[in-house]
Amino acid sequence: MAAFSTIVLTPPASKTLDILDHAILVVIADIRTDWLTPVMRALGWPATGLALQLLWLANLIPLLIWKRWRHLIVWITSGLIVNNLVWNLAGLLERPRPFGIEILGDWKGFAMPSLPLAMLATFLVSTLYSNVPAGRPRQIGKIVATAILVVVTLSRLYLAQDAPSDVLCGVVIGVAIPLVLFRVFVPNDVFPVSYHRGRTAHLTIDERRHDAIVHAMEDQLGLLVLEIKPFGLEGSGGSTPLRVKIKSTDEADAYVLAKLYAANHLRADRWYKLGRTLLYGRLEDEKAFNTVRRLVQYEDYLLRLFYHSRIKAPKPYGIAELTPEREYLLVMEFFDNATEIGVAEIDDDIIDQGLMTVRRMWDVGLAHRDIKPANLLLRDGQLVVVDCAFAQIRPSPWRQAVDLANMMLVLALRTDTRRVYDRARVYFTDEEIVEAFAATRGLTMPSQLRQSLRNESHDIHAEFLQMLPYQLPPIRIQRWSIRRVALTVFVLACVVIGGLMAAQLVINNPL
Amino acid sequence: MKRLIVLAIVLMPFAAGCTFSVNVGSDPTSAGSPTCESAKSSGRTQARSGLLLMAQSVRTASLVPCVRVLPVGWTYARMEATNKYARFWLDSDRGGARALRVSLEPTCKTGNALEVPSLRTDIRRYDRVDAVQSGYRGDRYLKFRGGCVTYHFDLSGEGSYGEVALISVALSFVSRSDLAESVREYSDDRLELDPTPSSGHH
Repeated sequence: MAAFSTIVLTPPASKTLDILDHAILVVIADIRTDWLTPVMRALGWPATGLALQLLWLANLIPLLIWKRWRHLIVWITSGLIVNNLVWNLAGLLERPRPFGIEILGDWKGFAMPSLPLAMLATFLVSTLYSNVPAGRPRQIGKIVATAILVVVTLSRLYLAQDAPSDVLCGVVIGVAIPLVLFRVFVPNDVFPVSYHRGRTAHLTIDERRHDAIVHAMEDQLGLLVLEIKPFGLEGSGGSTPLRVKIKSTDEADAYVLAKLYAANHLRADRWYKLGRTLLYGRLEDEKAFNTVRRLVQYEDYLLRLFYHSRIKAPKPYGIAELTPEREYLLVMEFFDNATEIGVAEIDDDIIDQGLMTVRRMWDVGLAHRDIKPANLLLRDGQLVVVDCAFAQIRPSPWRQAVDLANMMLVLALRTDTRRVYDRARVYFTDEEIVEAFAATRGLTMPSQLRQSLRNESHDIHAEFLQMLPYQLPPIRIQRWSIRRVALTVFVLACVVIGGLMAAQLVINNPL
Repeated sequence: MKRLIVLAIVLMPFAAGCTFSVNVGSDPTSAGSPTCESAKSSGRTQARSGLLLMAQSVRTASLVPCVRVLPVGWTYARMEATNKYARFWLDSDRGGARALRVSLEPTCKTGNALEVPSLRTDIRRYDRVDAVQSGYRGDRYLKFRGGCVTYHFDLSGEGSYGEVALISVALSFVSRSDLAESVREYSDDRLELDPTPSSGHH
């Protein structure tokens, strides 16, 4: 771009460029015929405002349906950058339309760089990197996009709407900027374009990452990896869980669970905690982590704390570093043949184990904070608590009370409220149970538990409330602080501004 | 995080240019100031590019509007040129933003505007003044061979009549032949402003 600007702003070079462009256009204009002109006009249609708007809207729909928000943001950002850059460069270079040739098509503003071709190139590259899966489809897409650009360029040169150097300058900007933005901010190995349902933010285990995991687990943890398979991706938003088959002295297959953490999970954690801060207020400790290392260290520490507190939780095997500060594996015991409590048969023994788990957490000063069916597994008649990433040490009594009520609600899903309530009175006083149900309602329940309760034919929560000897007024969970108010105002302002900008982008044509 | 900071730094100048309403489809800021003096200089200077672009907008126009010297308080705002028309706007510190819009088109409808004597024999002038509470709002049509220039005044505040007189004197025309000659000079007779029969006239 610097070279282009220098040429155009330096009189002798500028003159040479004008004359060269003119010579090429004269040659092209010599082939103009009555039948070819309408054909060329039609071929130039992709670089019109209407066509570009349709292309943008056609991209917007799949981006929204498949929730590729990052791709959408980069799409819009690259479009805005190219649009503004080209307009401002055109204003700086002030190059008129081609001299001495009859211009047969529509045009607007100064000629260099060509805005229609810059925007077409940007939209085509953005389409490829946001909606076409990597691999063969994208390779074919690149050929198609190049063909479209070549055809439209020929059309615009034939109609003399742009000079060759205007086109070249526009295409260079239009290809380079989205290409760089997509490769830097939504790299394909971290944010692959996929049309499969489910979370797309999980990391793909390609050959490079597979080898890195194998070497790291062997060198750092002494585990010989035989096989790596993604496991339970749909239930995990905070990490990419992997079931890793390892070499064992036993004849039976041995597995460990390895949770892969990277920068995208750190961002997911940040957004999740921002949402909780807005919803809950100041009752929660919702400080986001600054680095992936700290995120993994925290979960590993809590896992060890649970395990060594004799709470039935996965045995921790340690952390393996794949890329310093960027990618880590948290390795722990894998519960083979375990069943989620939401689909298992539950007897009084299991109910007791669940309640004793809460009692034990209370006694050692822990709160799990995410008691839901997916985090309670049954294996060989033993109840195991998993996923303690959100756990808290020395929590507030309110937070501990919520764990108790959530555990009772989960246990009642597969049994009945009376049985659970009667067993609970063995381990907890009436006051503790009453307080637990005063603290637990709506937002304090994990969303999976809320959904499971809604699916039941009877109101389990209400049944528990009726059994209580007395009821306390619900504990107010909405606590406001200056930080929460400021954050709420900021987020609302961002949503409004974003909405207005999005409306403008949808309504206006990009030229 | 580092990438986000880099993105924010990269986006900052563009966001500044974006304004609140997203700069999609707007024009570059003050490019192409059409000053009459620049038409006479040789070479495709920055200032003259605006005049050349206006001439390319209306191929038939024998004259192209330009600004001699802007009176104190008046500034050039922006320009818009397409293959159908060309316009530029002038701001006045007393009359307001976009106080004057100068348009060049192949023809114009004068409607109920009254013909008044013109200072130039090759131009016919028509004026229409709209009734306004304060300020000045009206149109002046200047018809000539192959084109028509419209001055659309929209000034607010006291003293608007004086401002109109002041800016009217500052506006002038450059002939297409002068512009064509400057293109020839600039290119050592290798380029022409308008199409020649041998260069793809269709």
